[in-house]
Amino acid sequence: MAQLEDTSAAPAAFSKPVEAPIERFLDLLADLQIMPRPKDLEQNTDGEKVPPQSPQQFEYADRTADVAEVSPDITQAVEFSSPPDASLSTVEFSLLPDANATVDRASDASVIEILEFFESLAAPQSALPDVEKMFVDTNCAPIRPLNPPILGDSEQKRLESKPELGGWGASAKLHANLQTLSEANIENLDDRPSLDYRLISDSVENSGSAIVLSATAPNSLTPSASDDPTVAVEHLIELLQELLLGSELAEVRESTLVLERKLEILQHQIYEPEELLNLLMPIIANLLSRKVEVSRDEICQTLVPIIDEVIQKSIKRDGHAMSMALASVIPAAISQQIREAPAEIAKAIAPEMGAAIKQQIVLERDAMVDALYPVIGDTISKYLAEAIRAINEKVANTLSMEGIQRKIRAKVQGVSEAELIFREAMPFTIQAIFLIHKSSGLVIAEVQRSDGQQLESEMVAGMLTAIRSFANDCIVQPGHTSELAEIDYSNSKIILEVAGYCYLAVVAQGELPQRLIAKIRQALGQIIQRYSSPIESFDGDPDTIPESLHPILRHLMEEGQPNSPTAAKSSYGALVSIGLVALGLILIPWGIYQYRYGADRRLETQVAMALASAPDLAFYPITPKVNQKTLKLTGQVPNEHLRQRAAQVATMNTPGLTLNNRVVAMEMSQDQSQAAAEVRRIAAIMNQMTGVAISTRYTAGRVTVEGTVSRMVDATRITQSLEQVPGVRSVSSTLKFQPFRIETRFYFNIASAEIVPLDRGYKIQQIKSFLDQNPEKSLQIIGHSSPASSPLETQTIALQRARTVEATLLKLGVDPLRLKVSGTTDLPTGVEVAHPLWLSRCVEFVPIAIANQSPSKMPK
Amino acid sequence: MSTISKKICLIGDFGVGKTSLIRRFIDRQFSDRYLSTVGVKISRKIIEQPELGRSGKRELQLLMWDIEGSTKFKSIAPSYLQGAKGAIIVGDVTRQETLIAMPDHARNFLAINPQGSVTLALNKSDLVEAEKLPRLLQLVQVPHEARILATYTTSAKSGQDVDRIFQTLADNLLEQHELPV
Repeated sequence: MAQLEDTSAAPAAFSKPVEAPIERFLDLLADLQIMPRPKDLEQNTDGEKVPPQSPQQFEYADRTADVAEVSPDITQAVEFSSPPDASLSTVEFSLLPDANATVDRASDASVIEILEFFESLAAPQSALPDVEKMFVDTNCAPIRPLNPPILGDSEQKRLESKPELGGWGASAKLHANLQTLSEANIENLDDRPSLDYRLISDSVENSGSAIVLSATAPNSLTPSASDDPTVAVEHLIELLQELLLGSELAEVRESTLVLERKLEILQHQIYEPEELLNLLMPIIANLLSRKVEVSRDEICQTLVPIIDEVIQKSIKRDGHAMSMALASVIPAAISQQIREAPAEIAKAIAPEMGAAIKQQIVLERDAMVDALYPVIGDTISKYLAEAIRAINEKVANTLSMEGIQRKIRAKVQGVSEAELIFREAMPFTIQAIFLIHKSSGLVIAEVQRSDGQQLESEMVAGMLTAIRSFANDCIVQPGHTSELAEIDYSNSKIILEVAGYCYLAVVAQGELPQRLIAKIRQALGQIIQRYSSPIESFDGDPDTIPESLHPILRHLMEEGQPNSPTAAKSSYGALVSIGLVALGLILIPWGIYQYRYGADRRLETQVAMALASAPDLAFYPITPKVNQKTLKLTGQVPNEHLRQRAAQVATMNTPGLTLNNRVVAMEMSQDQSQAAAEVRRIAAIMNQMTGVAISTRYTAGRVTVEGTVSRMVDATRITQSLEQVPGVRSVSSTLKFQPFRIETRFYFNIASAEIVPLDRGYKIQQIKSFLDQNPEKSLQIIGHSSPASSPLETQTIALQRARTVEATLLKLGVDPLRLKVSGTTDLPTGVEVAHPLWLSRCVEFVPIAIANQSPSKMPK
Repeated sequence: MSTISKKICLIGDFGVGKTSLIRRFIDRQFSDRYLSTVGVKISRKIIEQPELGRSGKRELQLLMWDIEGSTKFKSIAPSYLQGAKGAIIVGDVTRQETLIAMPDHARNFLAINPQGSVTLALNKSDLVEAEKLPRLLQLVQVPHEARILATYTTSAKSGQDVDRIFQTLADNLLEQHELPV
């Protein structure tokens, strides 16, 4: 309100030609508002085409180009520029939404009408009469009469001098709007005329110059009011605007325009995603890095929940790119992890390890073979060598002269016995060694014996390769891998030792020792380790193979020559020989000594036995000692006789030895008890003899012997022995001669010469046994008969009985010369007349010495 | 001067004259008697290549693997082809099916030896009229295969183009050898 007063208090402003500044100011006001902006400004100043919100709006903007603002905009502007407490502006404000609403809600017909009208405005001058007519039609005529009293002269002139279009346009537009307002919204406005009146009357009171305005304003709002005053009010407002917006605001408007444009650009940039991107692009990295610098943790925490997802998505989207990105760090990452937690890596990889190796074998078996060859070859051969050694030991333990000899030689030469057997059987020589490219069969390197027949290496290699291929393709089961190890032909063989990209063929005669095969493997392992890559890429040019490979083959060739004792081996052999000689020097004398010692001991034992078995010497401790050719006897005997006797016995058993008799014959003590013990001992020994049963009694140097002997010789010997006991002065013997007797008798029935069946087994066998045990004895078979029991018992029957027994013994194989028969009617030995008669019907046996036999002695 | 060795293979159906071609090339002989090759037969011949290559005159030792002919029931063992630098695929102009099989043989060989070189020999050309040959040559064409150097109509009997086909292959092998790897 105050503002309104101020501006109205400066009427000079009205005289200024302010049309353009006013427009600009209005535009500015409109622009500053967030309300719908006048599109015309954009179109006119920028030329930028902003899409209209609706066709109506578009049309509207188009048609109102360069035309004074329409009432809603003006009122808005007024309201905006005036202080909030201004009642007039409040009124206007209260009207404004309604007016807008009216426009919005206006029937299509009225809108079209307006549009048509503006169209005619935009039309060239020729269309003017129509416009004029339209003004007439819409009761616009009273505008003019009304204008002069309201506007100043200058303003009047300005309005008149204004281009027709502009002036008409402004009026027409105002008119149109107000008309619409009055037509459509009379009912709406009816509700609050009282307020409006009051407010406006307030304003009338406050401002003198605004009286007209106040007076007309209520009129314009009343439904009964004509259009003319309304237009006048609008004009007044316009004028006020001009007053308010001084020319000094032109530059403000300029800068506003610039601001507006910048705002425009900003908005555009913010709302257009593409533009926004461009805008942010250069700084986004900067922003991030700044943020990271400032608060690293925050960034981390923001990203942590999604980072795995991001990676997953990225992999899904373009796995290849992701692999490329990660590829370079993965090896380092794995090594790092292996360093930090080896167990985890092992755990992670382990389950797939087998599968991975298998896969690698499928993909490139040769590379795998090459990689493992040096290790596995050694491991396996070591294991096998141990196993074979164990077997070898068992086999070799079987003792035989030849075996021992071979064993010794094997030890001396430092090779196994089995190898020695082979070598004995067939001596070997390596004729040629070829290193052959596995797939093409070309010779990579070769060495041949210079003295023998030269092999066509390329042809041999080619054929071997073809044979290998054939074997692998046709013989080996699919899925299995095995290699041709050797080709045998008569006494020669080709050993094939296969590695990944090459193989070694060794042409040899005879049986190759295990040691050499190990050497071959070792050589191949060495070659692969050092020259794997030139071998793999070998393409037939020998120059591509390093010269240093050849010495390995040459060395192997030298190893394979039969007489190629290496220095180490010979020195080893020499050492062993010297050792053996030294051992021999020690062992042989010792052996001889052992042998002699053994022989001497045997003789000693023999003599001792002889002395012990001589009854008279048995009791005395006599020790024989044999030393080489001398027999020495030491000990003690009671008298010279026994000393001589000992010498005699010893000499008899050791014929070739010189006797050194150191036996001392010393008189034993005269001790009675000793003599008695001695006598008893002799008696005990004598009693061991067959047929001897004696007892002795010693009293004061006298010995009494009683008992029986079966031979008279024994009686004499006993007496002599006892006489030699020291302390025995006399021996009285009452020994009885008691020849051998056989108690067995065969008894017969009366007048019968038949052996009772019972006697045929056991009794006969007894007799036979006696004859067997005493070969020096013969038997007198004496048959007896008993005439007292029967007259048939004659001497004839007695003889018959003897003969029957004889015949039975002969059947058992007894020599007939050892049997004599006789028959008698006398009573048998020990049978008396008083005895039962059957005892006399028998056959009895009397042993007789063969030497002493004299048939004449036999009784008849 | 060093001798470079190269393995080449002669491949083709049975009875097309692979062995005869080799015999003609090495021994300058021909025999009508048919001897079936069992497995593989290896021959060699040294070819002197004057003024070829970096190191001047070189010798090329051709190791020719005469592989037993394939039949309907038995294809060629791939392991025989391994490591070969070149191949002569042989067909018999009197038996059309052997010519039709030639491209397959060539492809098989090149599958195993992608760097290998191949020449095609239409053998027994003495047995057909000369005017028929161009049509037969059409049968063995393998389009878009740079490794196939040339196709010749050969005759082991007359010796026609036998040396030439081996020589072409040998020249190529040496050229290939001289190429920097």
